[in-house]
Amino acid sequence: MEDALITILESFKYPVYRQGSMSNEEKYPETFITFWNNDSPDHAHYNNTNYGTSWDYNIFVYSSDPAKVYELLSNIRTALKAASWVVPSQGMDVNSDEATHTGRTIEVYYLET
Amino acid sequence: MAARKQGISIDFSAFSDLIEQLEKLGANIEDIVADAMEQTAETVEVDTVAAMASANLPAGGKYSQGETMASIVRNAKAQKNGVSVEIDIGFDKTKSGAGGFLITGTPKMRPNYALEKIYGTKKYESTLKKDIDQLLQDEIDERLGS
Repeated sequence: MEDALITILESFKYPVYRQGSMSNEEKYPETFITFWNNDSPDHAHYNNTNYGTSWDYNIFVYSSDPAKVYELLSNIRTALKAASWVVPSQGMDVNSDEATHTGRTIEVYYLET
Repeated sequence: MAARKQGISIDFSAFSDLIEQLEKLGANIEDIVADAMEQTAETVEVDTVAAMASANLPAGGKYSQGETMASIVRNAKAQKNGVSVEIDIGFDKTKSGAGGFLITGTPKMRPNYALEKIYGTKKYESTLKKDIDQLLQDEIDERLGS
């Protein structure tokens, strides 16, 4: 599932990282995307067997251009919805390590059966 | 109470059967719901403080003191607003240094595992719901004298 998610994120032609994977010395790219898997519980159980997986990720966009943050996150939201992901919100602001960049995140879900 | 990542969401309509039983027994629902919320908030507070122990945090635990530690909501009281009852839990986002970034992480800092278990997983929410369910059931049992 993660490979499919990364493929969608990489289609926007910006660097994609796992949240927290950049080193302290590394400089932020102008605009980039990160992701984090929050949870992946079994969807249900029948006859002591699990049925399906509920994938729960956060997608983050950071940019030195605040307008780009909104635009790119909105485009990612559209692409994920088209690929059957559930994206229930327009997102929220998140902290950036660099004062030059702003960031926002959306939480996205996929039910794999 | 509300949702993932920087908060917890528990919809009390999930307990409508138990609340209906309590209503039939003449209980003050508003007070009982407020009490259940305050006990739940206390659980979240204790777990959040434990998750903020320096050993659980990045950067040598520097966030386990000072403004971030002070932004944890403590001794939360339920607010009755006519038809609804609300309570603040987790981190007070109006205070500087609030710990939301520890939950979401940053590109250079992974989300904090202990806090994420509280604010980022359905399992923790489900545990709180079981606790509330038991609290309401205890209220019913007390009134039935069982």
